[in-house]
Amino acid sequence: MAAIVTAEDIAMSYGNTPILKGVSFELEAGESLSLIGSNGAGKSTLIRCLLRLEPIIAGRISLFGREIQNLKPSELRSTRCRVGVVFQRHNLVPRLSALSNVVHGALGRNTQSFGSMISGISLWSHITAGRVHRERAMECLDRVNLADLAHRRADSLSGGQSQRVAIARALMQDPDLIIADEPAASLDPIAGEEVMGLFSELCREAGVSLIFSTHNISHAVDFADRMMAMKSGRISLDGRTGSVDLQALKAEYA
Amino acid sequence: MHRAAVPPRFGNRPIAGFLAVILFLLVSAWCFGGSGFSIAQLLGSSEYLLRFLREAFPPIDEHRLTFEQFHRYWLALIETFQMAFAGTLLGLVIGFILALFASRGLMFESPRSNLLQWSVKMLISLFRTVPDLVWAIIFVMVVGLGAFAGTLTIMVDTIGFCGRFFAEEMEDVDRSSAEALSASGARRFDTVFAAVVPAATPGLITTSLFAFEKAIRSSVVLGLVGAGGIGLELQSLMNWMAYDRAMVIIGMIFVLVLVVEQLSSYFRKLVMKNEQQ
Repeated sequence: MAAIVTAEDIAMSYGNTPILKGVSFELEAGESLSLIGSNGAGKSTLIRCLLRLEPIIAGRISLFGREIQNLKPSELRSTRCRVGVVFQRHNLVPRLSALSNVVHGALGRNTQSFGSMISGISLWSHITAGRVHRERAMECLDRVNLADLAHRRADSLSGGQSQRVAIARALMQDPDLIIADEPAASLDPIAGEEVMGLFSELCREAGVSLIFSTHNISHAVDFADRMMAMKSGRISLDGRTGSVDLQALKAEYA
Repeated sequence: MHRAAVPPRFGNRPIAGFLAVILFLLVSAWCFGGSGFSIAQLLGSSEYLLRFLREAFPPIDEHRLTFEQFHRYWLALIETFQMAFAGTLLGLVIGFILALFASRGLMFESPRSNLLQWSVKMLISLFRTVPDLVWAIIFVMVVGLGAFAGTLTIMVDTIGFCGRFFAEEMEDVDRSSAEALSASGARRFDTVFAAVVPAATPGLITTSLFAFEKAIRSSVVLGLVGAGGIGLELQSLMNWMAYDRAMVIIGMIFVLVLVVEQLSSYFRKLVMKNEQQ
């Protein structure tokens, strides 16, 4: 299978502080990968670099075979729209309904031609969105079991519900890859477990590749095929989740 | 021997503070001197105030205020309201568009766009810092006497007020939800309207209501320079020393401003309450 994410020897720093020091890995289509490591190890930065939310200073990153460093804005958007993104917090627009937030997932798909750019304006809210998009958004909410809260405002939802809305928005994109930065970190243990379970189940069902970072070693092992551990900007471990020594990992990274 | 450092609060502050107070008192004395403020003069002129009050009350004397006159004042009051409303509406729309470009890192993010942002900010400042009466005089000169000049004045004043505060409200919005959308391929334009504007909406609404209150108050005086509305009637009555009828107009203005302020504060509270739920 072809690699859909390729990172070759990437380096990144904030000012004079190096954050990533030569990170290389590949992710194949359909694979799920968990990233672990202590705070400041570079997990979030790596994720932000993969999406070109931060610039790298050396190395190469390719998504779906396109090197993202040199893409024009429109090419970057058409690459990004194949990637669903879920952050730890503040994913959703607080004052809009859950449904509107899910409808936003279609925005990326709507920038490729001038006609669709115009129709993109209708996607600012579920009220103006066309029937096709609204129904699709309802389906996505249904897949995360939130159809009954579709019209609730996002800021009235619990942390776990918000993350499920964010997942529904990612599904709305019909992505080939989902990247999640500590999606369970701000949730209580039960909600965290639910969200992670939902992630891995939906990705497996739809054949979507998944990269997520976490502090929870059992999540990293239970919900991914493969895991990578990071330590001060470098990958210190990369292997199948079945073959790692859980006790040794917990001693080192927990 | 090692000298202990002086704690910051025992530094030079007391002397600096003392000098600041002295400076403040000196500036105040200087300004009162220049302002011609005089209690003696105020008390000495009570006679004129009494005359005004005596002639102004009772404000409605049937021999002096005809129904036709009252009807004319009423129409002028309506015109004042119309000017304020139409001018505010135009100003809100244009002010919002300018604010999008005046807001730091909102529509574009590049060194060149900083220049654009700065220029738009300066334009808004120009609209805001030139007083409304000066704009009114200019517009009366350009489009002639009447309500249109007043409407344009209110519009420019509202652009200056709303352009600034709209931009600040959109700058204050947490950009992380916009970033989440742009990370998944949305255009910047879409992220602004799908994520930033909805989050700023309560602030935009309350600012708009304040702008309308402000417009009502200023539309009352625009008539003084011929820019339409009830101010013109008031001025001519004062010139003719028809204080009783002037008092009627002052009363009408008072009621209009009061009603608009009450309504505006009611709607503001409604917006706030909606946000707290």
